[in-house]
Amino acid sequence: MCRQIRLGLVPGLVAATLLAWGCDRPVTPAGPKPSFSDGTGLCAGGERFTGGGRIEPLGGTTTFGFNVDARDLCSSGGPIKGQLQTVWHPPHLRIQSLTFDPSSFASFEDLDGRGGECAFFGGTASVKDGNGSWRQEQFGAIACDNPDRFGIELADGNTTDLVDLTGGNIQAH
Amino acid sequence: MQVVVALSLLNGVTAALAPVTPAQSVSGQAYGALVQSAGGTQQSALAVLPAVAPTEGAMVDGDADGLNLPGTITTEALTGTTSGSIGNAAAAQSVATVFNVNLLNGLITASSLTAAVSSTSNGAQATSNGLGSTLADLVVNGVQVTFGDATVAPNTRITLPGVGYVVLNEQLPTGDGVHASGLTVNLIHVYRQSLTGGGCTLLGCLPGVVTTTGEIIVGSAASNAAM
Repeated sequence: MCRQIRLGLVPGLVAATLLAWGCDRPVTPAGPKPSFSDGTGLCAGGERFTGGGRIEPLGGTTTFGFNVDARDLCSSGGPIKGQLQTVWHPPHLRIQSLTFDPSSFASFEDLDGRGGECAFFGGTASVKDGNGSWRQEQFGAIACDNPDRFGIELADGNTTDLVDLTGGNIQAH
Repeated sequence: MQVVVALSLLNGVTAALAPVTPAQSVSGQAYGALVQSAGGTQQSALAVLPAVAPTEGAMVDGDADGLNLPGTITTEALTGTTSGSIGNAAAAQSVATVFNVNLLNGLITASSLTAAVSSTSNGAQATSNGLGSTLADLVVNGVQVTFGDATVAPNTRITLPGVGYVVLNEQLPTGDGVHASGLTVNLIHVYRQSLTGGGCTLLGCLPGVVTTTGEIIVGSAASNAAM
């Protein structure tokens, strides 16, 4: 049986990773208002994630910075505070977060057998191609600490996959 | 009176010997480009990390479509991001990106620049690095310095005849490496110089004085962490 976690966007990259994680581990039943801070819920991998740097996915160099604070969500189901900016270099694509969706957040330990802590988060962002106009799109992102990895996907299908940082740092608290 | 003086001295000695515990802190900044001259300063959007309290985090970004000062600099899409947090460790990281750089009428060109720095401290060890800082398709005074996206040795200095000199991948470290560490990376730092004074008379010649009259910095990222 697989854990079901509703993401705001459910991008392919995020959903695929989540599904694999959920199917490989014991399921902890979730109530209507679960206590996330007991280490077994959706905040098991940490409540705060901050980072910035660069990755080299197949699509080309991508740089990013973010700060996500889910302590209110983890303790009482409250909102998520945060910011994210990402630049995908080949098309000069810029992504700036506008809102974070609490239902998109989940954090885990040892997500894929490489250890560390990972967080999924998503919401709505302003997106701009080169010198084009800004538009709004939903985004989903994954950030992992130790080893540091990052990935982001837009609703239009643009994705970096989850890849190791070649510079910068991600810190889970 | 002597007792008071002695106690005061003792207090001073005690204070001097007390272990200094640096406050937990993170700081950072990033920007795409800065031009400084006698006429003033022009800078693209600057991202500066605000003060971060213990057990908190923050991120700030700056963004501009380009910077165009004819004869000095043209670029596209400049962005800067800086973030930091304090918890079981203090960590800060900053990234600046700039596309299609042209300085001083083509004297220096690059297709893209990425400055990336990070600093961490856990109270026993503090480190910083500029990994991921690259200059793509960089040409300086007609000489191709990088082919594709590549790194340049830190603090590479190249003379620019009639202008001054440029330092590529300029790295300016700070901190003690135990409690605190910081690093600033300026991917392209042009120092514009001019010769003032000097000349010869019947009595002999006096050397002129080289002075820096302006600076151009493109792709700058800085981070600091202390605990």
